[in-house]
Amino acid sequence: MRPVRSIGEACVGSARKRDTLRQLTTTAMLAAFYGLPWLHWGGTPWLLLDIDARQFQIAGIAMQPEQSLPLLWLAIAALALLCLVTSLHGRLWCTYACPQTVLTRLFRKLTRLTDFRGPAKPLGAPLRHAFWALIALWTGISFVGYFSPIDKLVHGALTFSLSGWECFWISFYGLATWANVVYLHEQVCSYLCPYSRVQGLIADARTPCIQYNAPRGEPRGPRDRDNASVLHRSRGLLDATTAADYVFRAAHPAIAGAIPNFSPVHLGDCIDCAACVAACPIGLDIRNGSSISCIACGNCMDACDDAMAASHYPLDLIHRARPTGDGDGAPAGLRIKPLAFACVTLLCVVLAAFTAASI
Amino acid sequence: MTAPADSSSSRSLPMIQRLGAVVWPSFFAAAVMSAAFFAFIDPLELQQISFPQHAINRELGYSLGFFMFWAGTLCACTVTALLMRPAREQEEFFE
Repeated sequence: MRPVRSIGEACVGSARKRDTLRQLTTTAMLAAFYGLPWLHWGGTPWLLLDIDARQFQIAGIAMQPEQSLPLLWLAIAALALLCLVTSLHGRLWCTYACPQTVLTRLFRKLTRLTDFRGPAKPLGAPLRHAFWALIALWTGISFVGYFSPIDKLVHGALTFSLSGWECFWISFYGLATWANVVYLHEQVCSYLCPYSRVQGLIADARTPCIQYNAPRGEPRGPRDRDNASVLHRSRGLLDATTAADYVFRAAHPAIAGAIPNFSPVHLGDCIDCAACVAACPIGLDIRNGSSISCIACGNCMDACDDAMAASHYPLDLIHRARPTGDGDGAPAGLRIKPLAFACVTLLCVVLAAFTAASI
Repeated sequence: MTAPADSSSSRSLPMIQRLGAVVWPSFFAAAVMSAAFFAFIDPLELQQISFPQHAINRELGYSLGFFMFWAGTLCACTVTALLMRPAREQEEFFE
């Protein structure tokens, strides 16, 4: 019997919530980056590190670069805060806030918008690249706008009267933005970003990550549409060891041999549609275990939820959760790493305040 | 159960990864070094005690400083990448 549940609403609700959050954070980060150089407060820029005049303006406070020690402490505090958030909640930075993620998402949105049908189709690619070149140029101008008054920069750009070095740095940053997104995209995260390499040091046994619920999903395989979810069948969830064994067999067919055909009563909830693999920007198979290259973008969760909804199965076969490990639940007790990161953050904030007060 | 490719030499790394591992950390280190250096040193004052006969503006001073730092860090990263590669010795050297 097919389970009757309000799967449609559940699917739309959870996927929409994730999508809305992603869109909101993407918009907020873009607005902050492009908007901050324009923000003025009482006639002075809110944030301008005018290195040519050697005069910093930060939130209404004017300071010399020589007095910027508090900024250094604040930068270290921000780093420690990033470690604290990563340790407690996983790679939220990569998912929502990293400029590489945000700009790549913007480019993919642009790609979708310029994916025309019909006779206008050949126009799509040139339009996309023209728009992206403009956005990259604007990114370069905005970046230099943090170090030189942006209204003068824009005026100079419009009247072709920028100085040589301004032109150079705008082009440099613009080109880097353009190439990072068009040619490198997630390769930056996999190959160039040190964050994925150090996350093992930052995370602990209770840091959540995106994972596949193997006891529910294994053994994977296609089936008739009338097969109910294991949550509504007598088979129920597998134990962790058996599930891990099935995962290993599916991941290493060269060693383990071909997967046998399971009867519908033994099949888990994964219908092996490979939508999660197709949705992953770097082609990971999340079912085979988490990878340090995973930036927790959540595309596989969305794709899997859609597939589950289409099969009238409960959602969240791929979900964001704490690793369960071999034991029953997450280990209890004090978490040393988040505590240490919180202490470092606090200490650096105090030092920033202390050095700022003594200037 | 590591696949053979995982344990093989760094020569099998993608080109982009090898290039990125040299260019990106050196760029980042140079940026941080320039920020820290020029926070305390005004390039115009530096020019007066080093090359008083050549007039420069601050933009040139910052940019030169940054590229000097980057040249140094790039050299160091390149040599590191070179040393991380397994040496390819000719067979006959051991005869």
